[in-house]
Amino acid sequence: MLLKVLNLCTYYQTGSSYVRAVDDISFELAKGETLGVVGESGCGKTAAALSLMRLIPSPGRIVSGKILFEGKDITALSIKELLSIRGDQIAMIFQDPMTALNPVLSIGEQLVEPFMIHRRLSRKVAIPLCIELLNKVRIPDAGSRMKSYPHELSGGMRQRVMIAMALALNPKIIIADEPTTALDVSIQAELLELLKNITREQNASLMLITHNLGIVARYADRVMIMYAGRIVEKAFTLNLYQTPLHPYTKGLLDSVPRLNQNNNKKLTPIKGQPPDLANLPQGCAFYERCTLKEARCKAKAPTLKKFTCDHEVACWLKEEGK
Amino acid sequence: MKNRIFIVGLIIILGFLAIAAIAPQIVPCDPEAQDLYHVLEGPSRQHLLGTDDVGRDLLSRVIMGTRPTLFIGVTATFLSSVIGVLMGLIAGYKGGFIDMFIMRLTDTFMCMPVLIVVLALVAVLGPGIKSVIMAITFINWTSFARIVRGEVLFARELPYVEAARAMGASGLRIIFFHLLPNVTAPVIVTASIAISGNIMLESAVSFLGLGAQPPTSTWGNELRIGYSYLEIAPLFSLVPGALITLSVLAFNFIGDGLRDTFDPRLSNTLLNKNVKKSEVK
Repeated sequence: MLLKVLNLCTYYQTGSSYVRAVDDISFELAKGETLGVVGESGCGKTAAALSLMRLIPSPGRIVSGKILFEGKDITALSIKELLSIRGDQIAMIFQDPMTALNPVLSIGEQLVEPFMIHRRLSRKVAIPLCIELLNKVRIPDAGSRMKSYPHELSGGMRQRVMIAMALALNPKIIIADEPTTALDVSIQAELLELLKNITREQNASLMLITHNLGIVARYADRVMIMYAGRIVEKAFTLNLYQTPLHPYTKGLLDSVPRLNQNNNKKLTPIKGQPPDLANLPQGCAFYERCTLKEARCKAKAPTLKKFTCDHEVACWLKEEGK
Repeated sequence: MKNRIFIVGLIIILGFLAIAAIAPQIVPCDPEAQDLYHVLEGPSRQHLLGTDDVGRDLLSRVIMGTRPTLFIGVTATFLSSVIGVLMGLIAGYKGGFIDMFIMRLTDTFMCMPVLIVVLALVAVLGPGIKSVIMAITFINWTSFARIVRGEVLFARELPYVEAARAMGASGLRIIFFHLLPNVTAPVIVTASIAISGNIMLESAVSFLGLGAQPPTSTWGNELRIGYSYLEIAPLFSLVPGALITLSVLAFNFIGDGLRDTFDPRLSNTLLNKNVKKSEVK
């Protein structure tokens, strides 16, 4: 297993209370696999991703748990070892290409950075490699684009540059944090297709964070659904869409239109708001919004348990394997 | 309009710099040759601006004076900007205790009356160009540090810094490669205005007799000696005084112009105010 996350907890300390951004999650990522991470805003998707590279900004902190990357525990690495993994072994693509590129440095200057940092190549040697990268992400006229500044490129172009930068050193894991949220729909598909193809080519694992179920259905091999800092359901993509087990997953699927469904069916939103992560109620975090709630849900929070061999869910109702 | 002022400032400064560069070649007389038979004379064909108290040609003296005056103004500003930018980058990026320490240090420096500290320091270090530069640098770096810190505090939270970190960039690399280029604009603006302040400061120190020592001529020196003979030879103090004013104005023009270019929001608000005023009328 390339990456194994065990009981990871990442908390933000605010005064005397903790915001449990990531609360006891465990998951695995195999080589070449695409894992979709789905959940609404503030459910801990990004915090989980940033934890993997120990990029959690203060006052956030990994409180407990292990992140085993090729057997090494990332939470225990020294800063120096960490720096050699970031960008080289694990790379990240950020949500907003408008601000994730340095506005005062040219594209070329930013693209050569990974080569200079991790491979100790000179600028001169790195430039042809960068042009090749830009060609790979299908940026036309790559040679002259190297001298462009971010503001001279469109959003889609910039995200291509971000992808090129992340892929520069053939990382083993690419974390894409809502890579297409800031772009319009027509470019979304193109970019995701590109990302998928290149990761497949390089046999890299992709952790695709999104709140778009459609994207996950199309591109992910496995999916995990997060709610209030925890994983509520984890399954192969097909299983999840065919037989969603957790009421939250069902709610998510019912709240988006699907092409293959009866058009007359009304969309049903999930009522209510996600709970305050600093002040989680006792019992299941989804209790207040759940349509199937029972007394025992309030008493104790369910843990993630195997339902079938590849399908895990955290819900008391699915406890007995029915 | 602002642009025109910037160009005027630039032309004046370039003129001064050109004069300073070729000063020894263009002086009409030896600036240190005394002629005790012709002291404190008014303008004549031989001495276009007249002579000073020991009969030296005033025009030659102020031309030579361009050199130390500009040199001290520019060098002191450069040194203080280097120190200030470094301090500001460290304070803004590191935050926490280091930030607090550096910022309280700048607070302390800003409490001190500038001229008195500079005079005291020059008195301790011994009068001379070097001491003046050191003293000005000592008191002047704080404004750069504060401005840079503010910019860094803003910039370090931006996604591109996080992206650089995710790429494996070390703290030093982020500071110098990613943050430094983003703070140069305000630094350049501050520097161009600081130069004018430092020229004033240098002139004040020279005027009080602690700057460059005779026979070196600076504008401040000329002003001091000429001041005692104001009724007899008014040009003796008026000319260096006017030159100081002119260079200070020119650097301020440049600073203003640069600020408008780098920070269009500022000029926009001014414009909006004007629009509103005319609407009211």
